Amino acid sequence: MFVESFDAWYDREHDRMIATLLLTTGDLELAVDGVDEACSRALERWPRVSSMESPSGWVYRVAMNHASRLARRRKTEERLFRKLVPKPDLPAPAGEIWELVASLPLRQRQVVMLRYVAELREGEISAALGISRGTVSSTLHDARQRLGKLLTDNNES
Amino acid sequence: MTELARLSQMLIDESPARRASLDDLRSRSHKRHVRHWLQTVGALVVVLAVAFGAVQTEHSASTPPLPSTQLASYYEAAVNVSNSTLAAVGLPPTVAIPSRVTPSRSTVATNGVVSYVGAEYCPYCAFQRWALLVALSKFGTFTHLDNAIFSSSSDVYPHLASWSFVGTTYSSKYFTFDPTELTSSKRSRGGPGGFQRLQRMSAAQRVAFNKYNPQGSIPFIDVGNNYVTLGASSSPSVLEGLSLSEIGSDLNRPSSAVAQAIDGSANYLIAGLCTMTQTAAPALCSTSAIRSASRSLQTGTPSSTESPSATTYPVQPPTNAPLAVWKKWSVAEHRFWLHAAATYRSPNSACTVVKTFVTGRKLSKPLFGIPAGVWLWGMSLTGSCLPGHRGGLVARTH
Repeated sequence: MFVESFDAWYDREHDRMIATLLLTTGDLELAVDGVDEACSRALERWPRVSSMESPSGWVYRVAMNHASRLARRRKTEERLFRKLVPKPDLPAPAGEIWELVASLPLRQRQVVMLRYVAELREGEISAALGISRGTVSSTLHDARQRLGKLLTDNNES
Repeated sequence: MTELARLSQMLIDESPARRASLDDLRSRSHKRHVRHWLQTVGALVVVLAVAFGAVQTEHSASTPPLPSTQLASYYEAAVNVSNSTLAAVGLPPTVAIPSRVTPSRSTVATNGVVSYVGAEYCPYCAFQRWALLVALSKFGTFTHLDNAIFSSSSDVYPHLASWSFVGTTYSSKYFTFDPTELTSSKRSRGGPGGFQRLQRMSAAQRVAFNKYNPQGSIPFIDVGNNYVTLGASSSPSVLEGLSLSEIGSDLNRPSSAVAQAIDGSANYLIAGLCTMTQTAAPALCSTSAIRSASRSLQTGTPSSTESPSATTYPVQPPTNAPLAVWKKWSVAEHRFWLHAAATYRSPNSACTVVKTFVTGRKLSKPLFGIPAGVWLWGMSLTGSCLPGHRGGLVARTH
């Protein structure tokens, strides 16, 4: 069985992971922190992670969970300390895509980004998000319909 | 979706984030481990702090803290019992005389040491601590005597106010004081006598304790390997229902039951302590009351300063005697019963006397030739006998 080195996998996947997380969370800081955390954990246990069916799926799952934790903590701090941290504008072309997908529910956004940006298969997405394959399919279907409508509306306006 | 894929590919090609080096990732792993370790330690500290707090709260709930002014007043009062008060109290018949012991080579380590072995739950120890405080403060100084406690609420003479010798220091130019409180008043399964262990006896203290006190009674006081007291020197009932400050105040009133019992016990202890001073003994050692106590210590019998009426039932005056004569007789009768209560032991070895009471009533009409208006006294007691033994507790009547 061929086992890819962490360096090679990391070189190839890093930028794609950043893009996926960025378009899922809409926040570059969360995306970078999530990816770095997940990759550091993957490096630590690479022999085990690399032998998984989808190492990238595992790393995406860790990265998204970490980003969600950070987002929750940030919200709590804002509430407790009445501290409002302005969200920086996303760099182009991320800003354009974000405008398009921001209105999608989080779960739909996650599935769409993992499918079209991270280029994971439906089975890998199901494992990464801990949901059934059928749910992945139906969520993708709903997201496509919604994005199609949004694109039509945008073009018309 | 084609548009989405195209734009995201642009984003991937021109990534907005720098790729962390492998060293950065390893350093991040290391920091995470340190953080987890600190969180674990922190959680443990919190758990321990909460547990400790709970224990403290439980302890303070069982022994409610007393105001500092009250502590100060009891300490001051006990320390300042004057020589004239001690002389006025003298050697009441209700007080037991410490036993003289024959020092042996095995107990030589306690020469020059005043030893106390007791426990915080023990009501007899509560009494004896007071007598020790009065006596020892004539020869040295206590510090940190501020841990107020109550004896067990479920024992005989429940909830007596006292303090613990734990954490106390005593300095004297004559001798050293070695107190040991074996247990607290908090229940603990597996602890000695079912109470939480506090301190252990020193090796020298244990040798003297085992030699002079084979029954293992507490409180045990060893005055320089010369005299010992086992149990309380008088009935702890005099402390019942009194606060620290009330006891402290009573210590300075020679006629009070507290002063009679505690100051009287202290007089014997002082006489014993005087034998340890060798040269430059305090002036107190040469007062008549202490000299008299010294004689009693030597002979083991009450000194001539004792009222003879305490050991023999007073002769009843004629019925038509003046009321003042009858009142004097009543006082003598009271002293007799107090002495009887303090010294009474069951004639049956299978029975144990737990508590004795001296009670009185003012006669509203003449009885047995005693006119109305005179207080008549008597003694009652409680105790227990082994199965199959009865009536062994009955007090002899006069």
